[in-house]
This record gives sequence, C-alpha cells and structure tokens, in this order.
Amino acid sequence: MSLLKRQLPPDCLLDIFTHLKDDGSSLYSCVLVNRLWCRLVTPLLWSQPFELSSEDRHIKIIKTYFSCLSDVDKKCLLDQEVTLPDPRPFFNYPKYLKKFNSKKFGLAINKWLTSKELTQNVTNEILKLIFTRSDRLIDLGIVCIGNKYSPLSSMENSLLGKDHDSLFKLEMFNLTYRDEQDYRHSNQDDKAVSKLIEMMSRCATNIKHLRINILLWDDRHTISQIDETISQLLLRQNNLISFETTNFHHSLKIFSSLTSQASTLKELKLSSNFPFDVSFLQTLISLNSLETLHLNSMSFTHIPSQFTTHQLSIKNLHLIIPKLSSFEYLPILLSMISNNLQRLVLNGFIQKVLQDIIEHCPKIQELCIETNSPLQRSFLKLLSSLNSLKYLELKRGKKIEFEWLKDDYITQFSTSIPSSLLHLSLQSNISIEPLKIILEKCQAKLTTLELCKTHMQNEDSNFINLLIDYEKKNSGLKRLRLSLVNYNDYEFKPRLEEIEYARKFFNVILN
Amino acid sequence: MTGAPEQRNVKLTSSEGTEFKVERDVAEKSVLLKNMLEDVGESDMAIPLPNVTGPILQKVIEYCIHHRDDPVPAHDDDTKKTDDIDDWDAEFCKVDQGTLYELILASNYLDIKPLLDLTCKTVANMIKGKSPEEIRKTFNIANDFTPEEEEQVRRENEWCEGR
Repeated sequence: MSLLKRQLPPDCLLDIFTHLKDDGSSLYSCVLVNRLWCRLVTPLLWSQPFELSSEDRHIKIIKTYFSCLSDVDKKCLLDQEVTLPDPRPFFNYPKYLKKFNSKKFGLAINKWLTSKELTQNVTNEILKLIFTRSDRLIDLGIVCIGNKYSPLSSMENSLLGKDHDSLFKLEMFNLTYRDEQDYRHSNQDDKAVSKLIEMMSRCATNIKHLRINILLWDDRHTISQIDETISQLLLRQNNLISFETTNFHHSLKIFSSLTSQASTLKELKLSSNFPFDVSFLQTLISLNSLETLHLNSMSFTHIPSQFTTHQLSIKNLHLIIPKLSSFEYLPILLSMISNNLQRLVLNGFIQKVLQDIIEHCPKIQELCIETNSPLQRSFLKLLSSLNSLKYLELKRGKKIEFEWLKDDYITQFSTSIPSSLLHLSLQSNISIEPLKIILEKCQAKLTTLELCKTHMQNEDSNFINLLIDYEKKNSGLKRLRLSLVNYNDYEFKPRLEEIEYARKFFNVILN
Repeated sequence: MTGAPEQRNVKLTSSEGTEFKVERDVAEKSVLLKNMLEDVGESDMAIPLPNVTGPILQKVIEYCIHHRDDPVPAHDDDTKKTDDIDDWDAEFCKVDQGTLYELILASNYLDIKPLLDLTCKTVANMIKGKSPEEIRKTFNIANDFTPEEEEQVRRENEWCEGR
C-alpha cells in the first residue's frame, strides 16, 4: 500500500511538517506539492522567513510582504517608483509571522532601495503591516546600533502610540539600542525608544524572555525616562522567566521593579557596571525562584552583615572575570549560595576566584571553565576538593591546544579528577599522549568524553583504539562526542571507518 | 484470579476482534488508555480499539514495551529534530509506507506522543531533500494546482528555494 493513498488527516500532516519547521528548503518543496499541503505549510514557512533563508534572499521576502499592502498604501509607494509583483498574494503572509528581527529586515530594505526617504516609508509601511496583521508574534527583536538598522526613525508616532493585539502572545523581546562612536542617537530616537517600550508595556504583558541592551555615550536627559519605561515594562509582566540587561545608570529602579517578578523569574543576566550593593542584594534575596545568575564585573560597596546571612536559591552561576576587576563581592555571593550551587561556569581570569569556591561551594556537580590563562595548582586544589563533581568542561579561549597538557601538569590534573566525575569535555585539540595519561591516572569511570581534533594526525587510529581499550577495561564509556575541525574529505574518510568500528563499543556523535 | 500481577494486565481488542493482553504500565504509554483506565478503574473487560488493526496494535505494543521505562519528555521542542532517531527506533520504522501510515494514525488516536513523533520524523526524513515532484511520486499525491497558481506559489516563496 502506498503511504497517503488514503490521505493522512491534516493534523497528522501538520505534525510531520512541524519536524521540518527549520528546514526552509524542504518546506519550499512541500508548499508546491498540492493545495492542501500549500495551505498547511504556508503558516510554518512564513512564521520565521528571515531565519529560513540566506541574507541575499531577504529582499524577496520583503517584496512578497509588500504585495500584501492595501491598494491605497501601495499606490502611495508606487508613485515613488517602487515596482511590485502584480497579482494579489495567495495568503495574508504577515498574519503568520512569529519571529521578527529588525536588523535582518533593515538590511534587506537597504539593499533593495537606495533613496533614504523611500526606505523610511517602506520600512514604516511594512512594520505597520506586521504589527497590525500578525496575530501570533512570539519573538520580536528591535536592533538600533548607530545609524545602522534603525527602524525607530521610521516608526511613526501613530504606530508606537497605538496598542497592537499582535504583541499579546509575545514571549521574547530583545531590544538593542546603542550609540556608536561616530554616531549618537538623537533625542527624537531616544523618545521613540521610550515610546516603543511604553507601547510594549501596555500590549506585551506575557513576555517570558526579556533582553534589553542599551548603551548611550552621553549622560542624556532621556536615559532616566527610558529607565522608567523599562521599570514599567517589568512591572506589567505576568510570566517573566529570564531578564538580561546591560549598563543602566539608574539600576535601582530596575531592580526594585524586578522584585515584582519574584514568583516566576528563573534567570538573570547582568553585564558590566552594576553595583553590588544593598539594593541589588535585597532584590536577589526577594527573587526566590531564581536559579541561574550571570554576572560580569560589578562595582562593590560595603554590605552590612545582616544581609549576608540570607540563603539564595541559585543553582547555576556564570561568572565572567575580566583581568582588571575587583571581586570583593564574590565571597559574599558564594557564601549566600553555598551548597545550593550545582553548576558553575567561569570565564576569564579564573585564578582570582578559585579559593572562594573551595571555601563556599563544595557541592558543585558541573564545572565549565573557559580561560586563556594557565591553569595553575590552585585549579587542581579546587578540582580535587569537588567530591560531587559529575561534569567537567575545559575550554581554551582562542588558542588551539592546551599547552598545560604537554608537561607534567597532566599527571597531576588526571589524579586530581574526583572519582565522582562522569562527563569530561576537553574543547581544544588533544593528542594521544595526554589523553592516555588522563584515562590511565584518573580514578573516575567516565561515561561520556567530549574531545576535539583540529587536524589530521597519524596517531588518530591509535586514538580511537585507546578509547575502545578504555571502554573494555571499565565497561563504562557510553558516549564519545568528537568535534573534527579542519578535516577534509580525503582525511576524514579513513577516520569514518574507524569511527564505525568504535560504534560497536560506544555511541559516537560527530560534530 | 485476583493476584496483584493479574490485576495489572489490560485487555485490548483490535478492529478485527483479536484480543491482546498487556501490562498496565505498557498500556498507559497511551494517554487515551491511561485516562480510560483511570476513569473505569479495575476491570476485566477488554477495551475495544475499532480504529486499530491487529498487526498495527501488535507493533504499537512492541514499541510501548521497549519504551516502557522512558521518562515523559519534558519539552515539546526537544522532539522536533529529525536527526536523533536511535538505532532501535530506526529499525522499528523500517516498514512499508502503508504500515507507517497506519502507525501514525494509531499513535495519533491512542495519543502516544513519542511514537507519533517518531513516525512523523520518519516521514519528514523521507521528504527531506526531495523536489515537489519527487514528493508527489513518493506519497502518491496528485498535483491540483493550475500552472498559474503553481507559478504564483513558487514566486511568492522563492526566497526559500534551496536548490
């Protein structure tokens, strides 16, 4: 019997197409199969058109949107010599849009039209089309960096001043508004940003993930106005799960609004220049659902001891540690998290914080480190002290190899690995000798290994054999995730046969 | 007759009247059956499944037994990748297209989401990389577009043409 002879019902077909939702090319084939498939696939295809196609095709998306404009709007632009596709479009395409990023959209329009005035008019008309016709916008990104991709100057007051039903289901909102060294936004732009956020706070009250990145070079009067609107936006949310923000001059207002989201907020990501002060700490204490905290450098002010006795519920902590920054706040933060901490991600100059981790957070289960600075003895001391560690990931910044794996440090590293470890990930090229030492000396029975090979080496077959021997000896290795970088087909083919053989012993996933 | 292991068995009847006996936790992989069993309580009566034939019910049971200890998938989106079918599942789906079609319908009716995802993924993989004409041929579908309509659909969507 041939499949679909009896035809699958539309809901089953839709289930099948959903598995292709990120595959533009396959969806394109499906949309041309017959009328039923076309009707079912079109909403998927047009839910994220800018994500499903390459940048050079984006003009074609804009042209199809353009053909959806009303005759009156079209005429207005046709008078300005815009050429349009002729027939009325088959579908009301803007209706299906779920994900919209103004940067991709702005780049496409700029490529299509050269006249500045016309670009502004077209941008405005299409934004209007999207805001008024889409009924399912889930993910909205507005990006204004310098004078590039700046839709704000095109957003008419009428558009920003109006309430839009399309934003009601919005789950993700990402606003990037930054001055560039050679371009500072005008007061008018600043006001448009305030108005945009104000409109969002009225219409988009179900945002789950909010990311606001505002960087202004001058201490402008409008900054406090923008801060005020962000506070309102936070206060109006019903279901905020994550909030990410950078560089606020008036952070106090933002933090006090954040406490309104205490029952739902799970993730908080703050970039530089936030003060680690009493008000910040009070906010952290009030956020009793908070599980994940990302921090860049923070300025520290004295904290009275009555605040530091509270326990924080944070399980995942991500720290970026710049070379020139003080970390006086860290012992306080770590002591307040203490045994709750399960996953720690350290990036940068990690030596500064290792002793504090040993003292306060011995129950860590997952440790990820990305650094360019040498891993010293203090790291080994930390490693051997983490008796609950199950996952260890080491990333080596931009350099290709782990230099420290070449000297006698490797033996000490291997013996410092706690016996609880199950998953070891070394995200940098590793040759056979250090790997051999790790597998021999480490007391842990590893179930998953993630390794990276950046170039062809004669020893590569021994490399696979070494892992097979390890599996035979410990019968624990279940998974090898191998990143092969810079391998060409000629080099890769013989490796593939060895990998097939290795699959008899453990699962091999190639990246 | 009233021993505990006996009580945990559930009887199912296929469309032709063939009776299948399965353990309750296996039957409960189907949300439809789970809800029914919760509503009805302990019963010796066979549950009729008029929309599922014997051979297909046999396959569905085989799948549920193999996956009886799997945790309930937490996130919807995790299952939407087409390249992560494990070996047993891939082998399970090596059936003729008609059987695959019946398995999709049965898992949809019985509300067994992981099986529905697996079978839909398998069909999605059959679509990948094919031209519209190849898809029509594979799935025996007639093209009911007029040439003008087909041209317009092509033009309005040409931004995602892959080849």
